Amino acid sequence: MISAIPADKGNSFARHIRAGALVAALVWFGSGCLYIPTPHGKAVEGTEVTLSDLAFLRPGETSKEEVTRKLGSPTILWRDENIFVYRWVKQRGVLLWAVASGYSGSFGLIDVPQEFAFLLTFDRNDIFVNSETLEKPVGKAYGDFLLEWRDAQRARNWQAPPKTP
Amino acid sequence: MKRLARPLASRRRKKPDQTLAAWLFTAALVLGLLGSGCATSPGPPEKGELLTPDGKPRAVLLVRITTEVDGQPATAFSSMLPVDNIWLGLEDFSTGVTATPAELRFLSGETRKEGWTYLLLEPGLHYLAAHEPQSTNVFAYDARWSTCPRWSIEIPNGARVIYGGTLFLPGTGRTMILGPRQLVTFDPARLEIRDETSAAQALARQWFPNLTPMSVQFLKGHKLGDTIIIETPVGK
Repeated sequence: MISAIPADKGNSFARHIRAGALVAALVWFGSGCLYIPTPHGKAVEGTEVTLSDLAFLRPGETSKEEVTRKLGSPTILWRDENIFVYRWVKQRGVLLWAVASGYSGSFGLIDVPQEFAFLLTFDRNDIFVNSETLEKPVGKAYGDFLLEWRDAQRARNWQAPPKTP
Repeated sequence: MKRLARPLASRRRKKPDQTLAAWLFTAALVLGLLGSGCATSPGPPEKGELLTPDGKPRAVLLVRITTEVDGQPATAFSSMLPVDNIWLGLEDFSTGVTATPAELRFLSGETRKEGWTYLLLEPGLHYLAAHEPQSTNVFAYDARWSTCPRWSIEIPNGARVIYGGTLFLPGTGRTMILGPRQLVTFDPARLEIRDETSAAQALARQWFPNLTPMSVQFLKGHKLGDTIIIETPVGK
């Protein structure tokens, strides 16, 4: 006499699914995050290279050794391009998050970072050529970020060959 | 009494099936989640895997990872990724100074328990990073990839199988509800590279007979804050 069992109580599997869906919905709607931007302050990782640090740089004169002596070892040496990369990270904002979980909940504050890179190009004799400070787009792979910069540099420096009369 | 007994009896008959179905559904869901991302079956690489999708050659880097948790020997790699004591990552041109989890390959279940693993790497400079298992929030876990211990290796052109050494990575642990204590923090003063070339030779002969002779090139320790060297990938 299966029909004697009330439909809503008889199917425990369906009840499990409904309960699971309810818990999932509570977690989903009880969770959230709030992004609060903060003004750029002190570097939280690495050492920021500021304009005042660069007064000694003279294109065509300053050697690689001198750069290392004044600024320290670079974070990255891009070997085949003979480029030094100094990297630092600043706090861009904070993310306030909260997650509901059963009878309890959890919340916290997470720093949202912004990564910077100071790139110095040297010629084949290890003499300083040029430099640029860049802000790495969030989510972009480091390799793609460097290649895009290099290609833009090349395009900028490219000069049309002189026309022959 | 008969009218009451019947529904109860039918309820008793039906419940085990429904409970079993619910358990099976849950088990399938959990296995699906655990299995995703670590579904590579153990064994040597297929011939096609020794080339990148754009035709560049890749070498086998064979390493062994051993560990101790609170002074007791422990397995680096258990049977499932979420309960492994050591996670490995790779750092190269594409990642900059933050390693990303490496695709670890294993020869067999037995060699996996012994800590042997291999990676398929293109010629060039690579940094191998070791990460403790995740015990914090995902943001702290991700941030740790840029500060965790690492070693460098330069894969030469034409290399086929390289033994990179045995990394001994001991640390302190925490008690788990199920299973042995799990590693939480490395002990940086005790990290070392050991030489087990003869065991690696035997494995290479058994599992990579077409790629031998195996060469030996130990990973070099890289201190946090030392310059990371990168090179433009071929063709970029």
